[in-house]
Parts: sequence; structure tokens; C-alpha cells
Amino acid sequence: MLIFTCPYCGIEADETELTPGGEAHLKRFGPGSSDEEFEGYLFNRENPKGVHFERWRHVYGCGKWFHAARCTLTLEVFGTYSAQTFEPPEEIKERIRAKRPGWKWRNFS
Amino acid sequence: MSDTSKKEFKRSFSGYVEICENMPTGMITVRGDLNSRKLKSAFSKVVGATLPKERKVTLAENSIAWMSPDELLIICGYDNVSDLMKKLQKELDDQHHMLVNVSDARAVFEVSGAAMVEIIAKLAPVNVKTLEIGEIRRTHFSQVAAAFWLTSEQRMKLICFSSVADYMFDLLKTSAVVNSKVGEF
Amino acid sequence: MSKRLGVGGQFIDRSKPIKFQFNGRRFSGFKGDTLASALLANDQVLIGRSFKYHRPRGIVSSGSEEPNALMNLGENETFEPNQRATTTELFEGLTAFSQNHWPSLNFDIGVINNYLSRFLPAGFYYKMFIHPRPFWKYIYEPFIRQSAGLGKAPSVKDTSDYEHFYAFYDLVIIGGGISGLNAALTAAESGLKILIMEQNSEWGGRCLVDFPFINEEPGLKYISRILSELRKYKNVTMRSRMMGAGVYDHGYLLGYERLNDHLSTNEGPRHRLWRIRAKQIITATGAIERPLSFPGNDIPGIMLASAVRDYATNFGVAVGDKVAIFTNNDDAYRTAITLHEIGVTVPVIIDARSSGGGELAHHAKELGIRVENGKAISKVFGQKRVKAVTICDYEKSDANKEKIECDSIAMSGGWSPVVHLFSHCGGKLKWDEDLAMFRPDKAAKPTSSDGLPFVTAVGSANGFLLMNEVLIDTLDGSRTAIRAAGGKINNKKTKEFLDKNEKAPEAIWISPKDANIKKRSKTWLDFQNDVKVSDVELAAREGFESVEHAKRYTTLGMATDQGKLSNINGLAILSSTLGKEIPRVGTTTFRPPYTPISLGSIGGSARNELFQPIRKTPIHEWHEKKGAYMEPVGQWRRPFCYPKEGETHQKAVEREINQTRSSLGLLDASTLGKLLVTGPDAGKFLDMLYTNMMSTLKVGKCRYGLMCSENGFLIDDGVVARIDEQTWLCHTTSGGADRIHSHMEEWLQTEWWDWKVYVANLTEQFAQIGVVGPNARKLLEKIGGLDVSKDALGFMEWKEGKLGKYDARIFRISFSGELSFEVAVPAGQGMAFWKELIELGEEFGVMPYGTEALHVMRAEKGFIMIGDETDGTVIPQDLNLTWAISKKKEDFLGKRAQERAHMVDPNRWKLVGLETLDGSVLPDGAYSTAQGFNSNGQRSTQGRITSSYYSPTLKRGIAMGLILNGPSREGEIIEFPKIDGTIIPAKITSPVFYDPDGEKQNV
Repeated sequence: MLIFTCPYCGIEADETELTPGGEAHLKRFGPGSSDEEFEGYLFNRENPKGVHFERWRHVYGCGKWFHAARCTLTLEVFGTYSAQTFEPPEEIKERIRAKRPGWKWRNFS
Repeated sequence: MSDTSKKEFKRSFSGYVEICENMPTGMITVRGDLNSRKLKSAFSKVVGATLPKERKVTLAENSIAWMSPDELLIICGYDNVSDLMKKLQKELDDQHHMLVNVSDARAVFEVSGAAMVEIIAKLAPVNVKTLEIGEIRRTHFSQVAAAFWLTSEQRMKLICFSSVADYMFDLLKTSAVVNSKVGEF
Repeated sequence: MSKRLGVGGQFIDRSKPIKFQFNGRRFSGFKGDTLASALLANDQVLIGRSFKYHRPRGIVSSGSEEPNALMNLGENETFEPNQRATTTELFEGLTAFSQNHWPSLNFDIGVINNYLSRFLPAGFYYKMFIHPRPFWKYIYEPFIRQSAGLGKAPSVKDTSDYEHFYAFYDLVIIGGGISGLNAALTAAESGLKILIMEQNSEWGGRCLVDFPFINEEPGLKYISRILSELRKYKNVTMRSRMMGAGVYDHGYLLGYERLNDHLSTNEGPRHRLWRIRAKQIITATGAIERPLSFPGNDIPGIMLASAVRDYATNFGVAVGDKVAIFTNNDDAYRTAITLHEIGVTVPVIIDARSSGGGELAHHAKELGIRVENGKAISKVFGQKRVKAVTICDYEKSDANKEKIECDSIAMSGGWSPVVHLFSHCGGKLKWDEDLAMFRPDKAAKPTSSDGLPFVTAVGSANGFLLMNEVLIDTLDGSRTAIRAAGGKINNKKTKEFLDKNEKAPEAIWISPKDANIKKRSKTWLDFQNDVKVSDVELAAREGFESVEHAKRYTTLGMATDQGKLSNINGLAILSSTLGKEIPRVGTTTFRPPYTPISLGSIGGSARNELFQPIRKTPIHEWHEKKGAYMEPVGQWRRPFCYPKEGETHQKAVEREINQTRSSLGLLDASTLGKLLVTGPDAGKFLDMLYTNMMSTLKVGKCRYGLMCSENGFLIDDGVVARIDEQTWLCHTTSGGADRIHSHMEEWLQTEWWDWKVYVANLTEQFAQIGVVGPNARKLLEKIGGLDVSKDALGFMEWKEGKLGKYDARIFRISFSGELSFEVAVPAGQGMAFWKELIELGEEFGVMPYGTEALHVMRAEKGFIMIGDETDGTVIPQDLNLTWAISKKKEDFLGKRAQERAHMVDPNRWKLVGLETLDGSVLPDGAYSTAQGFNSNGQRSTQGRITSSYYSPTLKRGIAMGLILNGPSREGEIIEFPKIDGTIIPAKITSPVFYDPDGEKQNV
């Protein structure tokens, strides 16, 4: 039973107030994209043992989607941030660097 | 429109706290840029209240509740809705926004009594000890979505979807039966 | 015999006798008794039978670790199986029945297994019942099911109430013994919000029994002084009869509170499940004494040494007249001394340690108790009760043998800290060789969302057994937790406690040390599941070397007590058989709950009408009053049909359809999703969401639209109405409103966040009523106020205004093929509007119709239904809906996916109509067989039925189905085998069975 702080309304939300939405920072590929690009977008996902970036929606609260940086092994939460961004904020990446030196996730590190 | 003027509430229950379901209340969902001057001035002019801060309810004749960073809920008299909407629409005409009447889509309950917050604690994953009066909390009560705020230390208002009003009433009732007091607050 | 003494019993009130029943016999105990103590007070030592061999079993412990004393408690609606007598508080009128025997406790026919035990070793069932294969289903399983199981399943519904309670604390202390109470006291002035819980009714734990004095203060007084001090603090909540059931991620903790299990009444909630969030948790859960493994150690009358003194001190009960003590540590001498003080004979203390014990042993000897060092028990006489023991040298079973008479044995194999709650959420353990125990590893505590430790074990739960160490560790651990929770630390010190000089225990895992196989097959590890030393050895020999495998193969520790007594002993046997050290073998995983909690408490108030929310439309009450047969549609309840008295549902549906097609029907369509989409970019947005073009729709018009996921599959459909320049109203399926609303929000918030669009779910703001049939217009005209003539409101148009006294928005759309209007009014006006339609429609013979009539009529017209014709693998092209897929748009959700090779495969199954040759109704979901077999040797298929009904309009069965190359095979006859082996031939047709030119709806 996780807790995430919703960056949109500031509530420390119980997991039961949230809906998970899978991997964050996916780039959409539409018509005109190659089969490989489209396959990657639709089906291929990171499955790290460690730092992960994922989407959650505060569905029973303010209704907003947000992103979370979380360790899949210890469930440590490094931070939550706006879903309307292409990359985790620097301060969250810095926090992860301090706690998980040498981490890498897709092209973030 | 049913004649509702004679009754004060739809139904009620007395347990170790008091529960009642209110008669239909006017409610307007407003979506827009809450930081825009235009919206602020439109509200003070038409609704007669200032915009609430994050997670707050401006308690007035026409109350305004903060629902999300781009959503407000005006709570007013059932019969004032179309008038308020028309006036607000006029003020906001050239600005991207949404105004919708949701009065019939909601049920409103009031729970009061010395142990009122216990009922919240039985049903919602909310730390009631840190709640302030006039702070709105959107969450779930058992299995349905709800929003509530304390109007005083011993009274709260709760909104849910009207289709589950029976469920909510039974839920509150069950939680309030005598002999089930926790004695924690 | 076991009996109540004239003295002692600090928990009981002798002035308050309580009557209860056990196996139909009347007994009496005192207020404050547990069922176990009261049974022992009445010399009821035999209390059950074991699971596998049906051997007689007696009470072993005095707490929640009890493996044997499981009862069927209560009767009828209060009946509950597998309740531990040791934690069941006695109340007036309690009824209990022992379990797992037939015909009676005293004579159990199942005991035959006991004599067959050498043929029933570990893994017997796995090995025996595998061949021949069919025997399992028809012979073995039914037989085993008959004989297996402990308590009975309740046959009557539980009438008790249960509830949940969400609570938030800075610090939660689990365990109200000396350690937990001192932790609470240490934290009381830290400024933190604190909860301390104790699973029993009495606070104080072992302190009340084992330490008559804490620094000159009587134990009982010491505890009550701390309690009254704690009660002064408003920030400290104290709950007894509340067990810490489980510790989970991010400080989530379940507290299981038993509110009226100890009362005769059933008022108020029976159990309350506390759903707690704690910043920090202290587990002060103490330790559990371990049994010793010796031949015959399961015979009634053999108990844990600590339990023997609990019964004496707390309840004034002597468990026997002559109690022999068998120990490997000093603690059991306390039992000898206690018994001696109350006048019970202790014929001998058998201490396996050759050098004997320390100060307590010395004291026992001074009292004149015979102490035999370096000795062990090699045999126990008696079946339903201990009669005597044979003792021998611990090292050599045939040396210095002596038979000693006794009717009870108090055993102590040392103590195991209760590490369960520390371990639930990832806390690691380390093996302490000196004390022979697994104890929490301070460096590997469970961590929370901030990555920092949030559970601290203190006192005995942390592996400290001497009082002074317990107090020091509690102070130390509490401060760690207080600091971590953000509280203030004070500098108070603990008073030093002078412990008795105790000698170290000596780990003995099998007694006597050289016990042969015959003895090892009589030496029990798990009393409840009948696992013996020989079984674990066999498992190890057969290759079940992992502790997790050995556990499952032997069922060691898998009973309702989850091996609280047996795990360490079993583990030690496993590791010695494997020749590995204990830490290398490791422990099995501790999982919540600590002891079983009631299913009622897990469900909380979610039972009966609150089991799940039922959504009701504004007209729901009318449907119910008219006796509608309701069906669930998502969480909604909708009328399936409105049967008249004596009418079958089938007949009702036919009547409703016939009347609608010939005159007038009404449908409560309020559940239909209504999403308002508005903003400068709303048109662009809807063009992305729907496969067809919505931005070009004219104000005042309606258009049917399809929605797909990015996978290309159909997810929803419905009619979209353009309200004004910037606003569209999107109708979704009844089950789809919330899902599609979320879908829209997701794309707006996470992909196109710069688009200016707002969405509102107005589903419940309106009651929506379908007015359907040739007389539909007449009815609306009768109400009046709005011109609904063909010219004023054409097909696929909408208009709004006052219809009679109602604020109406009328959509001229049809899902039935008839002239049809869907009228939306504010939900509050819905019931009045519906009633007026019924009243004014009387002259046309108006009939309300339900979802089944709706389904049949749409199928007659060949309209698809999301969830029938679609199943998450169907694309619009499969349903011949290409006309609804825009070719002009560069992009929409699902477009790219629909270009994938498999999606453009010409051999996809496509929608057709099917007519049975004999007019019968095809089974829904039936497959049509094709020639040949697939690679799995199964018959090839060429399509399946997606909808199938009896059409009262056509007076024959009609169906829709997805068939290989279907549309090009019209007229062909294909076969549908039924489950009974018969075959129905059906002709492929157009899916539009009724009024293909749409003349009926265009009037």
C-alpha cells in the first residue's frame, strides 16, 4: 500500500486513491512511423529492478495524472512530478544519483 | 421540478452522530485558468466570493470549492444556477473555460456531532486529525468517490454522485450506529 | 489431574462464576478465564485430535501460538471454526466443540491413521494418489475431502457487524508487555501521536508472571503504575484486544481489534480492522517458548513451561498433580519454583545441559526439588494423558534409564523472538548461535518511502531475554524510532534491574541425542499438522533441501498456527540432516497476518446492501415498484424486462418488442454516458478520438462515432451531438462513461496538454428516455411545446427547449430502427417526465421495455453492441464499419495500429448475419467448424457467434457472427456444433434483418 504525494493538489495519497498507468515518458508514434518504432511505443517497456519512472493518476482526488520516480525493489519514492514534461526534473535525478550512484533508465542517468 | 420547499432534507438518521441528506443544491462546475484575473473578477462580481486557495472552500452564501488546479465548484441555491451561469458566461465569454450545471448529478449529505470525524475515519483513507475547517478533501468513501469539508469542528458536508446516494446513506448510517463508537477523537 | 487451586489467579474474579459448554457438557469457570484455563480447571486435558493421525491432543500453550486447542465456537450465526481456546476469553453461555474427530473426541475412528503412520510418511499423498490418473478426481479427492479439514465451515450467515477504521500515527507500538509499555512511556513526551496495542485483554505480558518484583515493586503494581501514567497523555492511544496483524509498504499496518468476542452480546461491530499509517513502528512483540523434541512429546499433559506457570499464576490452575520439567535453559526453573510454591509436586527437573543451570537452578535445589543434569526424556507413557516418563542420559539413550511417574510435563527448548511483524515488510534476521535464535538484524530493517528504516524491534522481540537487557534495548530502540518519527528525546535513564545470574541455554534439537528412527518417528515438530522429526529427515533425503520446499513437502508450519512453535525446531532438523549450518538453510518467509483474522473484518462494512455500490437511475424506484427484473450493467441496475404476472421473461421481452415496433415503447436510457467536450481545440481533439470526422459536424446535428484504442481495437461507440461552435456532447455506452471520460482526460493531460479542451461527465445530470415506435412523435406532440415534426427535427438532429414543463433536449436518433426520440431532462425532473409519458402514452398502449428488448431490436437492425460484437480484439473494419473511418484524417487513435499486417489481413473474420435453417436460436458464442485440424489437433474453426436472439419480429432465431471472409459468402450454409454434439446449420446473410432501407425510422 504505497503513498504518493500528488504534485497537483499536495495530498499524500493512499494507493487506494490512485490508479497506476504504467511506464512514464513514452513517445507516441502514429501514422508514418516504422513497424519497429510503433512496436516499441505500443509494447516494449522497461522492467527495471531498481529506479523506475511511472505514471499514476490521482483518480479519487483531483483527477490529475502525475509521474513518480520509484525504486521497484525497496519501494523508495524519489519524488513525484508533473506528467506534462518530457524528462524528470533535475532535482529528482540528483536525488536518485545521490542514493543510487550510477543508475540509468533509458537515456536518463 | 418537484416541490421541495416544505421539507428541509430528504432523509435522516440518528446514530451516535446525526446524518441527513440535503434537498437538491445548486452546483456549477467551472473549469478554466484559476490564476486569470478575468476569472477572479468574474467570480467576485457574479458569485460574490473570492476564489479559494488550493484545497479550500470559500464558505459564503454561494460557496466556492477548489476541486483541482483548473476546476472549481460553485455551491449555491438550486434555483440560482441558471442565473449565475448566464452571468458568468457573459463575463468569461472570450476566455477558454467550461461552465456546467451538475446540480442534479450530485447528492449532498451532512454529518454532525461530537464524534463526526470518526465517521470519516471509518470510511475514507484520510488523516482527519490534520483537516482544517473549510478544507475540501476529494477521496473515496468506501467504494465510491466523494468530496467533503468540515464546516465546523462537529459538522461536515459531503458530496457524491447522485446514482450512489442510497449507497452513501446506508454507508454513513452503518458507520454511525450506536455501540460502534471508536472513542479515538 | 488438572484443577483449580484455592490460591493464585491474578486475572480471575472468583466472585463471578461463568457457565459454559464444551462438547455439550456444562462447565463453569470464572470471569477472567480463557476457555483453555477454564477447561484445564475442569480437568479437561484432552481437547482435540491431530490433523493427520487423529492423535489425542492437549493444550500446549497459553497464547496465540497454540497449535492444538482449536475449537468450533458458537452456534448458528455466531459459529466460527478453528478458534484458539487459549486466546478465547470466557463469557456466559459460551459453547465450544472440539474438532477433527468422529464419532467422538474420546473415541475417534480416524486414529487408525496413527497405527498406519509408518505407511503415511511425508509426501505420502503426493506419491500415492498420482496413479491411475482418473482415480484422483473420482475416488481419491472426494475421500480425502471427507476426512481432511479441521473445523467445520459455517452453514448459516454471520450476522455480526464489522468495520474498518483509518488511523494515522507518528509512532505505533505493537505489544503491551514491559517493553512496549516502556517504549510508550519513553515516547509519551516526545510530542508524537502514539498508538500502543496489545493483543490480549491484559497489559503486561510475561512480566506479570515471570517477574514478581521489578526493583522492589510487585510486577502487577509496576504495570498498573505505567498504565495509569500513560493514560494521562492525550497523545497516547491505548487499545487492548488489538493485534498487530501485518506490516506493509510505506508504513501501512493492520490492527485487528476484537470488540465483543469476550461478551455474550452481539451489539456493535464484532471486529474492527484498523488501517493504520505509521511513520515509525516499534515491535515489542516478545518471544515464544519453543517445545523440545523428544519421543511422545505430543501426548496431552505436555505443555510449554511458561504456559504451565501462566495457568498457575494468572488463573490459579494447576495443570497436573505431578509435573516433571524438561529444559535446556534456566527459565523453566521458574515454573518449577512457581509450582512448588503453590503446592504442586515437581518430581524431577530434567536439564539436558550437563553442567546444569545457574542461580534459579540453585534456588530450585534449595527448595528440595530433584534436578537431573545432562538428562533427557526417552519415552512418555500414556495415550490421552501423560502417566510417566523414562529419563536417560541426554548423550546416550540406554544409559541411566529411570521411569518417573508424572501426569504432566513442562518443557522448554528456549525462546524465539516474535520477529514476524519485523519481517513482514522485508526486515532481515540473523542467527544468534549463543541463544539459538533468529533475531532482527539492526542493519537490515524494513524501509519506507523515504528509503529509511521504519520498524524497530525492541526487548525480547529483538532477542533480549534478560530483564535488564530488555529495558536498555527498549530505551535505545524507542529513541531511535522517536528520532526517526521527528519527536523529542528526553534523557531519562532506566533503573538498572538485577537479573538472576542465568546460564546460557544449550541448543538441543533432538532428545535423546542418539534417538533411533523409531524414536524420531514419535517425536513431533508440528503438533497441528502431524509433522515429525522423521518426516523432515525424509524430505531432506528426498532432495527437498530448500527450507521453502521442505515446508511444503512435509506441511511443517503450514497449519493455522503457521509454525509458531515448530519452525525453528524443524529448521534445525533440516539443517543437521543436510549437514549445513542453520543460517545457511534460512527461514521460511513470515507473511501477514500474524494470526488468522476474520474474513468479516477484512470485508468491513462491505456486506449485504453495502457489498458493492449499486448505481440507480432517477427512475430506478419506478422500475422496482413495477416488478422489473433487473440486471447489472456495470454497477448500474437496469430493467432487463418488465414481466407481468405469470409471464416468463422471454414472453415479456417479446411483448415489449412487439408493442414498440407496432405502437410505442419507452426505455430508461439514463445510464448512457454523456460527456461534454468544449474548447477551441475540441473539434481537433474529437477528430483524434473518433475514427470518423467530428469537427465537420454541424451545430444541431448528430453523428454516430467509433472510438479505438492505440492498439486499433474498438473500445466504444455512440452518437455525438454538436451543441455549439466549441462544444460537442459525446454519448458513450452505459458501461463506458467513466472509462471513456478517463480515456479523454488521459490524452488531454498526458499527450496533448497544450490543447484547449475541457471535458465534463454529465451522465448523471440527465435522465434520458427513449420514446420509440410509430407513435413516438404523437406522444411528444401530446406533451407539446416543441415542434418535433419531420421537417422541424430530422433524423440525426437534436433540439432543446421546453417540452411540456420539462427542460428537454431531444435527439432524433434510433437504436431500434423505429421512429425514435431520446429525450434528456435534468435528472431531478426524470421521474415526473417518465410518469407523464406513461400516463399520456396510455392511448397508444405504451410499454416500458428493458435491456433485452433493446438488444433484440438492435440485432434485428444489425447494429453492433460494444462487448458483444467486440471483445478487445475486434477492429471497426471487421464489423464492416469502414464507412465510419475517415480516410481524410492524417491521424486518429488506432489508425497506425490498423495498418499493421495482421489488421489488414484479408482473412480476418468479419461480421455477417446468420439464419438457422430450422429457425432455432444459435447458442451465443458458438464456433463454426471448418475442414481439418489445427496444429494442436483441434478441429479448425471459421468463425463464431457474437449475438444470438429469438426475433419476435421475424419469428425465428437470428444471430450475428464474425466469419472468415463472411460478407463474400452470403447465402452459404455453415455448421455450428452444439455442446450436446448436434449440429445447427445456418445460412450466412446480411446482418440487417429488419427494414434494411431504414424506412421505419425516417418518417
